[in-house]
Amino acid sequence: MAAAEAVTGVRPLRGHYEAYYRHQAAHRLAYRDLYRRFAKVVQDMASARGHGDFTICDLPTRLEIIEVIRDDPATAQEFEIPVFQETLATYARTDAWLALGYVSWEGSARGLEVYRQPFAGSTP
Amino acid sequence: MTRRVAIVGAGIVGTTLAYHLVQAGHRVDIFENGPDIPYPHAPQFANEVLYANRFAAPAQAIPEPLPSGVKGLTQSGDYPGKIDDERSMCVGGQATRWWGITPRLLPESFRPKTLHGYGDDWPITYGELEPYYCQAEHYLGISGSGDDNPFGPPRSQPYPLPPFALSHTDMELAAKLSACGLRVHTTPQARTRHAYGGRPACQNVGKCATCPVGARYSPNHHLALAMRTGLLTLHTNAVARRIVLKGNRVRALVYHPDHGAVAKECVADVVIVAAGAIESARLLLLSSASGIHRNGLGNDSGQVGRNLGFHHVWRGHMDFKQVVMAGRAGPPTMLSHQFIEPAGPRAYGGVSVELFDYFSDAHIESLARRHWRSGAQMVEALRPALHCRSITFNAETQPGPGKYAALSKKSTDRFGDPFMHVHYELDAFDHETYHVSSRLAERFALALEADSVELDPVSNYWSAHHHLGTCRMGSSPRDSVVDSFGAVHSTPGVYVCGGSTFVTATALQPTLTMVAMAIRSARHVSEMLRTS
Repeated sequence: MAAAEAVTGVRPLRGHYEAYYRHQAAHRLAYRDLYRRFAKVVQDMASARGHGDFTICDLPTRLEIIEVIRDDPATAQEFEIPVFQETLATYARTDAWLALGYVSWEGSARGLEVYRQPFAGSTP
Repeated sequence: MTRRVAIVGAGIVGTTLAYHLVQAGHRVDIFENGPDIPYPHAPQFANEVLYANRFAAPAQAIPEPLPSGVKGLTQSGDYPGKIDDERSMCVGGQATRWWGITPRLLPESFRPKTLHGYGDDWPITYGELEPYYCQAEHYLGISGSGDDNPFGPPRSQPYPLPPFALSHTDMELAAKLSACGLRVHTTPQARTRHAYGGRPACQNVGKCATCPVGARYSPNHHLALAMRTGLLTLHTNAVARRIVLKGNRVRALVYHPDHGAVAKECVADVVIVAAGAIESARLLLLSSASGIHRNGLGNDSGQVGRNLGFHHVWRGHMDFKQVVMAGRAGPPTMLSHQFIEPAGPRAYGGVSVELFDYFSDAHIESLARRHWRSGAQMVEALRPALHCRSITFNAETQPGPGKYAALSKKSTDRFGDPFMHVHYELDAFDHETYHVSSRLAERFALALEADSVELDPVSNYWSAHHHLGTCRMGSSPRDSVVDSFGAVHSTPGVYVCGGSTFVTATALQPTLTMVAMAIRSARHVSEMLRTS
């Protein structure tokens, strides 16, 4: 979650990211193992930088660690799609809508009144 | 005396027939090639929306994948999609995954030859079908307005539910269009504006194709109600292989339970084939017998498989200077029926124009599939979509020699029975319809002061999974397979129901008409069984 927060720029994250990861881990054995390996990699890198726990690192440190992982062909091959791109895909269908000015996203119960009102979000 | 009816196909037509027949006291066995699926479709929604993984197939696909050798349609021609993938074999069929758009046809829709000089007239009039349209609208729980569409057909009853109102942006666009003589209106749809018939009210989740709560109609709703009567037996994963006659009259349906090798017989007074245009034609062709049935049931004149018609869809979008913020409402909102029935002789089809408040999923999909470094980068890439609005044309087609389905000469299933081969190619009529659509797109864009409008190329057409014809209705076996009730000519007790019996593919979505005709056929079959 700390990595997802850094990649998406959303703080604090709502529960749908955790629900997504739990769903993948529950239905795909490979994801459970992959998430464990990813957690170990970021923890080790945080420790190497003198931080005890990746999750309590400040944002610049987390981003720096993530950039290293994404730029290293070995770790990027393993984590880029199932961790970073899937997180960003989840972001694209949820929080990105809020960033664009919507009050909710498709897939959530939005009611039958708000869409009939003038849009009060972002400017052109 | 309780009579027994076997129905092949548990899609929206098969389940409508089953529900009405058990309500009339008949015992029904319904055979579905695919598996059952959970209803309401919350697990499917979780798989495909909440936890959709764009980079991998669902770990537990819903419906479960079919065993190999169950589907194997081959195709030729210029249709760009894979037709086999458009056939959903599961309980509820394709109507477990649809938007629920449910207009009636117009009185003129049934008379294209008389009024416009192409195709053939239907052996049924709008007036004959109108009471069944009313019943179908109540059965499906249609939300709509009979007042705001000046091009709509006459109605004897109002819609059972009020319409889904146009969005705020819809209203702004509608005013501009109206000033230029273009009329738009709400969309009739099988989605509950308020709680109805045991289904909850729609909450505008927006992903109507896989509604998680049952607000959008699924056949599984009435199937469950029919099962409670104790008169309905559902056979899932059951391959219907032959219809067996005794003399000219139906005797039984031969099927293979659980996709197994052992064949069983279901002795029935009536067999109704409601398996979609392609599979229904296949079962008739495979059920050949002696005499007039030597080439398949209802095929003495070689009509089975001919007259295939897709409901052609071309998609496009308009770009605006101002932000239009599409996507705040569930997809089906505003459309125009102004151009579905241009008067007089013509060599092109009518079109319905959809201007849904639709945030382009394709745009999101294409972005999400790129590799991004950050959310901020992604948001900037998405921002132009705020200025974008979809425009979609649903086009009428006419049958022709380049549109047919026939038993494959090369491809067989695991029992050695041929799969179907579909040949489908656009003809001059379709190309002219596309040109009409292109000109209309420009007219709409001009009226809306859009910066640009872009329509998919003519070759990039889509059937909307509406496969029609192949067992078309008519008054004579010389040019048709069934009568207007779906009774196969000269074959008592065998019926075909659904889109396969359509004479033409109109500019309007076919599902409501299929359900109305199924209710009419169920009543006819029930009365016939009672009096025979």
